[in-house]
Amino acid sequence: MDNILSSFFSASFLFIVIRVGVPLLYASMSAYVADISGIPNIAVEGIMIFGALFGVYISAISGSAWIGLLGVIVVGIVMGLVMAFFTMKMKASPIMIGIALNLFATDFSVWLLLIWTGTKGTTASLPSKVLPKWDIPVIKDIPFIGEVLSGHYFLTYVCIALAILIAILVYKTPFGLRMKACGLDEHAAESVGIKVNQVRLIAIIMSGILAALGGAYLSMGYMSIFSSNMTASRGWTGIAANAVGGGNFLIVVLTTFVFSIAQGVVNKLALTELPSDLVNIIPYVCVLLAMVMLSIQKMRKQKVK
Amino acid sequence: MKKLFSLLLVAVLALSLVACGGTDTPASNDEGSDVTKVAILLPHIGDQSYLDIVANAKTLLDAKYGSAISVNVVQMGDDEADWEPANLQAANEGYDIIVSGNWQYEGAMLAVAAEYPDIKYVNFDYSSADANSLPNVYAVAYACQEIGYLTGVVAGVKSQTGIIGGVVGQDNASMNQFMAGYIQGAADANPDIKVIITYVGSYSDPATAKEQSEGMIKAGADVIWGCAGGSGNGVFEAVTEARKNGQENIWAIGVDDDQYMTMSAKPELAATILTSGLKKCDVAVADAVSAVIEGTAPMGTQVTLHIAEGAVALAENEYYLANMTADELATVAAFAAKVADGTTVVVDELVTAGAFADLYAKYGLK
Repeated sequence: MDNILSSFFSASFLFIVIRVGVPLLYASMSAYVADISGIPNIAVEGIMIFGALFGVYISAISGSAWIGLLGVIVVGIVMGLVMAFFTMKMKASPIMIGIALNLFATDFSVWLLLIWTGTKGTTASLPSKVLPKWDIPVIKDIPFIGEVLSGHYFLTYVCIALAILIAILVYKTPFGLRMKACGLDEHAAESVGIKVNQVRLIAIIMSGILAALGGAYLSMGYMSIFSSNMTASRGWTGIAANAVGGGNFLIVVLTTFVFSIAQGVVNKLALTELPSDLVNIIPYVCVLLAMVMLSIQKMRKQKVK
Repeated sequence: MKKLFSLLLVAVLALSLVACGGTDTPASNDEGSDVTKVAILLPHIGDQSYLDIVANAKTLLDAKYGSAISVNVVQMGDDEADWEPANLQAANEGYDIIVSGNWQYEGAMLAVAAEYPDIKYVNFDYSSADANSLPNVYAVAYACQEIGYLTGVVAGVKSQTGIIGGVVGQDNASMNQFMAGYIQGAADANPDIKVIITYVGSYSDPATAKEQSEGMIKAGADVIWGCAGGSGNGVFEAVTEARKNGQENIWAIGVDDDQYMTMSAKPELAATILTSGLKKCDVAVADAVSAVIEGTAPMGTQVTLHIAEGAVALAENEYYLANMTADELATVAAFAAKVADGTTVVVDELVTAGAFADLYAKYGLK
């Protein structure tokens, strides 16, 4: 038990936290950019499944992981456009569309799997490619930091870069201000000349790409095959992290980090003789606690008013 | 308009009631033709595992009987509500023998079987003996603890570190039935063995299974049995990665189907799979259907198939034979023979609850 406890404070544990946290961060960023511009995207899970499946398939038929990645981005854009078409053009409820897309992705991905491979389980019969791992030249030689930060998958670094870009976009650019304005009150935004639909279209496409990349991370690096429903609720965890953040990107990222630590702890504790049912609920208890904290905070704010 | 609609609804409901209540229509299963009509009812096929193995019984039966038999694999769909209607439909289509079962959908089959005493039913993997005691039902099950025993012996023989792992889908009695056998087999092959068992909590989360396997490898495990459905692929990924990092002698073991064969398009992953613990449902179904046709099947009874009947076994493909030394193969064969002739009794978690916990307390890595 002491062994396990001390291993929580090691570089290799932080490495694992980053490894399990990246798909969650993609998901929470995807939910975040859509949410702040006024279209809650709960289709993250479904888009992740498509990203994971198409990345594998396109890399297999093209023979290149990079073309596969390009395909993933296109899939993300297409899913974003579908979402945008129904919510903005057809004025449907984003929640309904989200549910529809999730159900659609779960079953349609299995059908595609059957068409492409003849099975409903995995893409093991496709010669798909994976994106490389990267050792960062200078950082990898720094003792502790190198162990934590170097040697991750390519999409891990993309994820970190995108997180920084989103922070800059939302907080330091006029476009970010417009996104938030559209999310707060579309009529007010419209009255000052913001093209609400245009801003939201861009946001929802970004959201689609982020979710699709999160899926590709799972099937084109972390794993080398797609297996049906392999996202295993990671999209929903991301949505929960976004909800806890309540529009504050830093809190969204921190919450995602907490969820990742919880997942890392679970993976460590799974090796002990603690009851697995108890251990496996840790991340969900974290989500629940975060939600409770969120509502307490909200209630306090209301009381002050 | 509203009235018309509700009238229509009532009419449809009434009609469907009539359709459901059609139990007194005689099944036209003896129309004088010599062809035996067999239906295999499954939720779906194409899972590269369990269900595909059952469906493979069609190939075996076709090969054995040729045109004297017509075997249909019927996909009932994954919606539980569709299973009983599918069974009813099959019963009304004049099949002589209907094969279905498994704890999930045996209920739908048995409900219909009770209404059609003239049709012979085969339950290919029963769970409840009481429910399966109908006079027109022949139910088989598999000694899963013996599958575990065989893979355990292989793991015990192959492990050099003396630590082995088991990545399991869920923490329940039927999964622990495999694991109790696994620990017993490993301990028979190597009394000093240490075992690490983890539960993924899902049969479709290979990423978590991979993390758990990596943890095991770090703790020194060098043979890991992935007994977790789709999650099991994560075990192969973790072992592949460990090998890339220079740990050459690490192995994975598959389950249900010969996973070395199903992974063949991914040579890297396949190369990690030493063998697989097989549940030969296809052989069992083909044997059971043959027995029904020949009239020798003990209808109304339930049997559990063991190593001796060839229903559970190891996947002894070329890769396995190439990577085991003659000594190792002989050891495994000797232990298997002892189980087959009854000298060794493998503990059955489903019969002796707590057997797994006792074994794990003794051999678990602390």
